[in-house]
Amino acid sequence: MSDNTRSAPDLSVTIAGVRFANPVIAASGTFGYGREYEDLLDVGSLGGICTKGLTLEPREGNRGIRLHETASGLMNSIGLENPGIAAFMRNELPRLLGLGPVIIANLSGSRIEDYAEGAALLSEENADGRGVDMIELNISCPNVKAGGMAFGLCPADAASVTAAVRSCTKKPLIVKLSPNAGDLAGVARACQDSGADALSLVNTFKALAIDLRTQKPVFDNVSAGLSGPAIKPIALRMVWEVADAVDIPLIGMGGISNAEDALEFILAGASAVQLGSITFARPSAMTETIAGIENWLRLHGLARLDGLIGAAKPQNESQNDK
Amino acid sequence: MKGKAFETCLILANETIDEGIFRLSVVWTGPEPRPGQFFMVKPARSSVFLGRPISVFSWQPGLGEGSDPNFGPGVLGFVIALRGKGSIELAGLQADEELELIGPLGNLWPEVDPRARKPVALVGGGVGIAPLAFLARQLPPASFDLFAGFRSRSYGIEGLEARTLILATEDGCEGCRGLIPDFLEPHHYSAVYACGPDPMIRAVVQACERTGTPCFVSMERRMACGVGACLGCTVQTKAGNRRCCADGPVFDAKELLFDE
Repeated sequence: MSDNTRSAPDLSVTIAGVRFANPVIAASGTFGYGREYEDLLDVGSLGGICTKGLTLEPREGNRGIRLHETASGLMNSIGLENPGIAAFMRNELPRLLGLGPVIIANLSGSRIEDYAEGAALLSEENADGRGVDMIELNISCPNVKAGGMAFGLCPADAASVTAAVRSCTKKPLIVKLSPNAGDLAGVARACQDSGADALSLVNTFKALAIDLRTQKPVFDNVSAGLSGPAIKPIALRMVWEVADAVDIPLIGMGGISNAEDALEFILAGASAVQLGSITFARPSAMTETIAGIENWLRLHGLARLDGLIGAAKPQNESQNDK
Repeated sequence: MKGKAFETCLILANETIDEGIFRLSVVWTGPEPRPGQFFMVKPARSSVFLGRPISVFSWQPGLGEGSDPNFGPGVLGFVIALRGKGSIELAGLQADEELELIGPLGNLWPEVDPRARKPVALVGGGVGIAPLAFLARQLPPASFDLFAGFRSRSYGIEGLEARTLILATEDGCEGCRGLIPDFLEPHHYSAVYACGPDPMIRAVVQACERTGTPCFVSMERRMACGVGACLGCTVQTKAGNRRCCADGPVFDAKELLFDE
């Protein structure tokens, strides 16, 4: 047995100067504000928690059906229902800060000014100098009519909103990308050039379902966002490609269900991963993924996870051998 | 003590109790369920992605020795209608196979006021009888009237000690012929507890509104998480959106907004 396997492997990763105890983060919109799952898993053991998408103003979200299960996946059209940033800061954040994981506020909006003002508000700190650890700028929600994904579809729009938010916050800034962009690598580079510290990808795929009973689309908005295991291989390919396009760290997501999936994303170039839809089906999925990654490192005699980031890339092969 | 758990559970029995209706009995070792609550239910080996929200029909605690009375193990019963892919898979399960359950979830039927001079009415339509049957078994005998409506044959009402049982079927095969809300006169009751298909619920709620009788409804929605995180199961109320899974499934009818 090598020395590496005697002590517990180090699962920690650092993204934009923020240390995560492990690379597993609860994805925005799937974990509420951290409270809902407290009975079902050890929330404190997660690497990070992304809040439900927050907007400056409170939002009621979309009418009609909001969920539709598909083969190995889930379509949703929630429409950014949230209590508004001020209410979040007052009612949810103090509790979240006591949980332990890195707290990432997911920020959305319809207009650039709202994003900027929201970012400033989210950057406020309490008397002890504590606030959210990072901001994840959501330019990829497919379920709102104005803003949301519209900013994430082309490099110029992504650049303007990223720059506007960058100028309003000193918090480490993650930009969450849409797989629906035609030129995803271009959008990624534009975000990097406009001040993003990291990128997370991918949000849901714009998708459609039709109800045969009514012969009409299931969702009032016609299309909705597809997540879950069905999208994993496509998301993985996108992470691989964006890893070639930028130098800033990536957080991979899209249908990740277990440690094997998570390790694939890390090998493809992600520094951390987000798990979302799988938590609905299996509340223990994130804690099992953390344990599974640790086991895998032990089995392979590896002392550190962060050495695996992007290790599947040809240009990194020699580096891995060291 | 934690309020809910995620566990893999052994199926004791799966019986067809009517055409398209089956009863699943499962060993549950988590927190004790209370009337009104539900579980997210999924076969351990499954081709569907998410569990399905299913109300508790029965709970028989105290399986095994030395068990905490507030905790399992005990036997959970679910009465389920064949609807789509999820329920068809559940219907095909057999004893000794396993289910994954998340629960118990959601709120409770409001306490029945023991000082009320009138009894309560429990009004169930079809498989909506399930959460009312669980409540009925915890009420004193003859303290409630049971209105049970079915398409053609009754199920799930055996052993419920109602003061009066009002049974109706749409084709008149059993009990009275007709729709169950037609037989309900809410002013006889201190409160009405209802669960069933949408048109039935609307009729019951309207009848209670006319007489000013308190009415509580167990609602049904598509759900993903079951715990209040995903915001997919919205119920529109006068106070804004509520989550069917975490703020409900039981709602005060006077808070509900019904689509036109």
